[in-house]
Amino acid sequence: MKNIILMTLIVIMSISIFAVPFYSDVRPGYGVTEEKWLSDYFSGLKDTWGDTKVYVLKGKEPGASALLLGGTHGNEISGIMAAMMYVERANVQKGTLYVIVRANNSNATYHEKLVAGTPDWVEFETQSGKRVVSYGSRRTNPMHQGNDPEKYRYPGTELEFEGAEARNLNRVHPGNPEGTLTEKISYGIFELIRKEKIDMVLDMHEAGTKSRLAYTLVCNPKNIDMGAMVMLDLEQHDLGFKLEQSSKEFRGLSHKEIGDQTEAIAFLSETPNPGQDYGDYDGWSRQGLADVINDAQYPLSHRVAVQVETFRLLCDYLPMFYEKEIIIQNIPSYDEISDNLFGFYN
Amino acid sequence: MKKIIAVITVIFALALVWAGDYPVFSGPLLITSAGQSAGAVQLKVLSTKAKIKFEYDGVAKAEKLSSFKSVMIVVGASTKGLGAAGLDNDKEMARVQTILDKAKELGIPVILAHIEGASRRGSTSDKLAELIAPYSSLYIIVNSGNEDGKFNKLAEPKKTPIAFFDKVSAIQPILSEIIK
Repeated sequence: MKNIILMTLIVIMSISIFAVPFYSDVRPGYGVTEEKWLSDYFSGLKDTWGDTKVYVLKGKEPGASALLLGGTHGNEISGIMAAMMYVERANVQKGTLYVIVRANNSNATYHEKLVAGTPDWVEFETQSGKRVVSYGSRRTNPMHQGNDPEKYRYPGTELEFEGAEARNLNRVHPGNPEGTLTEKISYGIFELIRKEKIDMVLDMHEAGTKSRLAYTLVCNPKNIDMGAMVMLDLEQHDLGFKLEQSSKEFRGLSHKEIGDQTEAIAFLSETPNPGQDYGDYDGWSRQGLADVINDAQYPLSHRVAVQVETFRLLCDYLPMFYEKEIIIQNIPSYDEISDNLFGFYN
Repeated sequence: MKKIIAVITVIFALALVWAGDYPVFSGPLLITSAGQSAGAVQLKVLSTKAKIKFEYDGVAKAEKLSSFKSVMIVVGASTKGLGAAGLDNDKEMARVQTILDKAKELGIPVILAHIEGASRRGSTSDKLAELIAPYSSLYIIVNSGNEDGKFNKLAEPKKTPIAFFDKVSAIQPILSEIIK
């Protein structure tokens, strides 16, 4: 018994001593004007696995401020790759773009195998050589947060989830500065939104290929009209995109809490990832290995193209609805990304 | 009084003229939802772009109908949407029924729309469609929601015309043709 306690203490001390943020291979392009940390907005994240880079792309002209979030769930890779695309390629002419490639940086260190065939790392090659991107997990690394509660209850409500959901960033918004690591990450993101007076947020996700959420744009009710316009434009790509609005009761989700508790308008996008095909969808379940990069129907290139196109359209429609503008240049088109995804990274 | 209402109803029914394959309806149009999915919002956006005379009220009550000359009910049941509106399936069915009753009483033609495809063909959506269909003078349907021919079957008894579309965005031009 003493040995177990001693070992547990050693593990906890090791994690505390060596706790550093996970460093992703992100190669900022000319458009990045400043690199910050989430701990610059909430110091409680400094020297924890929850700290993460915030890339700032400030235009020459003042305009709207937008926040692009990838990696809320580390295994929903299209959002991570889309966020990287903006950091590495974008030039902002008007307004300011804030990009967090890994909103929950802890989950990049934890590789769950929920579906057979999902990789630990996505490997690809650019003109600068080989690169790897962590194919992380849905939730915060349990080593970074300690034991899960038996049940996770959303604060102040009767809403109850399995205990592991206490490590799901998209269940704990708007976070808590005194709470768990995951709640602190959420709080840091909300502090960024408040301090930088962010006008628009897109949180990029993926769902199972047969999930009703695949190809969905979820909107806070206050910005659903703008979402409808974007969805109609996305139809040109024959994706059968759907529009959803935040539920009044389902708390803790980014589109709900950011939209309700800050000035920002808030959207969440979902692309279909074979690596999310766990469980049963009306009698269908995935047979064989999931190929999250080269799946014949839902290749990564297509999914990243959808995420980038969704954000591009949101930026296009922002002035029509809110009389604020952000102009982002040098991002490849939907077809270009679909044809040659990895060719656009540094 | 009943006779007067009946006469008004007949006058309104006869007043329906046709634009090509579809009847033409008088504005202003009230757009409401049946099921509180986002489909009604999409039709609101399309109607704005089409510059027709309309008002959107996703949770409109029957009393509102007296200010309108036609009503479009957009079918699509969403648990999230119903919850956000403080409704449940039974309350929504009851609300829609009162609108249909009022429309019949006032002789206001009804347009049924289902534009969100297969993802909005659950049992609640189907019940709402079945409720609205007999009252409707036109269906606006996106094909992916009719792969089983559900709306053809609903239209059969009264030979109700159906405007089929492959995409939601394709509905916009027809709106300015059928709402005058």
